[in-house]
Amino acid sequence: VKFTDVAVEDLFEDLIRLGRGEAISPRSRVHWTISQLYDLCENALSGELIPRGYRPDQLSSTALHEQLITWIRSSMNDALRRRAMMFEQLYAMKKMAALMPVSAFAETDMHDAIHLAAHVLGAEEILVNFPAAGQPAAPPAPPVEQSVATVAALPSRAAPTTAEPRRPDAARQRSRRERKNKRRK
Amino acid sequence: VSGAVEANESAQRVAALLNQLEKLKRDDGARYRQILWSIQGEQRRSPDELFFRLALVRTLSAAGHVEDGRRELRGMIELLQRKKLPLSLVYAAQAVTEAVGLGMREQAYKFLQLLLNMQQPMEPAVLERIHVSAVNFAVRFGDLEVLHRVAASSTSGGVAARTALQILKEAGLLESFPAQQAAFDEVVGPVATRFQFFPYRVDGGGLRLLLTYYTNVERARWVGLYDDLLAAARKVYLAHPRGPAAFLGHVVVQIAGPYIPLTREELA
Repeated sequence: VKFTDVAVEDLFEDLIRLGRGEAISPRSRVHWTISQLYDLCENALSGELIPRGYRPDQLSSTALHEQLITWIRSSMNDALRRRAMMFEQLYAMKKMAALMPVSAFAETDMHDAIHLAAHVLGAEEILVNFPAAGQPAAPPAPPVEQSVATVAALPSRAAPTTAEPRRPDAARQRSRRERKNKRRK
Repeated sequence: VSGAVEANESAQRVAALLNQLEKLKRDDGARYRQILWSIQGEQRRSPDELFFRLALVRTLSAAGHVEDGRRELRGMIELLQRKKLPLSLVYAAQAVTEAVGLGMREQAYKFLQLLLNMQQPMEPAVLERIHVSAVNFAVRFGDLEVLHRVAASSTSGGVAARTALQILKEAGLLESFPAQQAAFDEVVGPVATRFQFFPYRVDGGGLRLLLTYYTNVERARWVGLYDDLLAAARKVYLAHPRGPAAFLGHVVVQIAGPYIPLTREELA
């Protein structure tokens, strides 16, 4: 799965709403979302490393995963290694979600997956918005736009091979306004 | 007879409570306290009953109560030592699993040696239980001798041990595994309450060994623990041909909060 920026925004907006307790993810969405979070992280990490000579569309997803880990292992950058550790953990979670019965995969696991993804992506706003298991509920979340800004500041990803047309800014703003108004109602 | 019936009913009640315990969620603190209170009550009424003691250890460790869990486990071990071991083999194996989770290596090793060296024939289910405990011990504490020993058996623990050995051998990590696990244990040992491992395959790629440490640590502190783990691994793998992060891509470490992730308010 390749993500357009619009899809990323929508995904994070959904996740932040979940974190605020505005809606609870139906169990069936857990697999879908962890998978998406993983792909998102893979794209973000490869965006940092691809300039070294590979393009993601030249590699299968598995080869890309293994290449990323090999690159990061040989890197002297501890921060990148930490992100790789969490990326691997997110992949393990994706595998577990696929193997286990849906009912065994709890809301807590979803929270864990979001936290891991946020650390891999460096999206601190997500962490602020998500009350951790074992922690009191987070203070009121900042406006969604701030989180989206954080996502927008992520390292640039390589151009997707099957890029969807990006909605014009005005249309995106309008659709976000519409969603917000709908929530208020 | 009525005493035996009553004891059986109590055991069934506690077993049902343990089942409920596994399904608790983060806002189920009130129910957790009820379960803990009920099991403590049963344990006080029948202090020599191993099952109630084990239930209490599991209940405490599940919510991240490291010290209380260790104290109750020490009590269970004393009880086991007073009883005739052949009657308590399954409990001894369970005590090893709990001791592995709570990081009580010496106590776990002592019982494990006793269990693995028993010459008497055992029920297959009992042997399964012992080998699962043994392989958990071997992976958590990097004990290659126990890992090889269990790997020679045909139990599910044996299969798990062989898979773990295969992953470590192919990754060139076998020799450094004891040092790696000792280094990891210095970081997570004081806060861990349960341990699990799981081998899995990357789609179309290599095998990975997932090590999960359930701890009493809040998520905000996990990142700090990952940094400490990396620093610990760096020392172990400094001379490794693949460099100081040689385990990356072969061994995946997962640090989780308590098995039952009750919020701080719910635990109060």
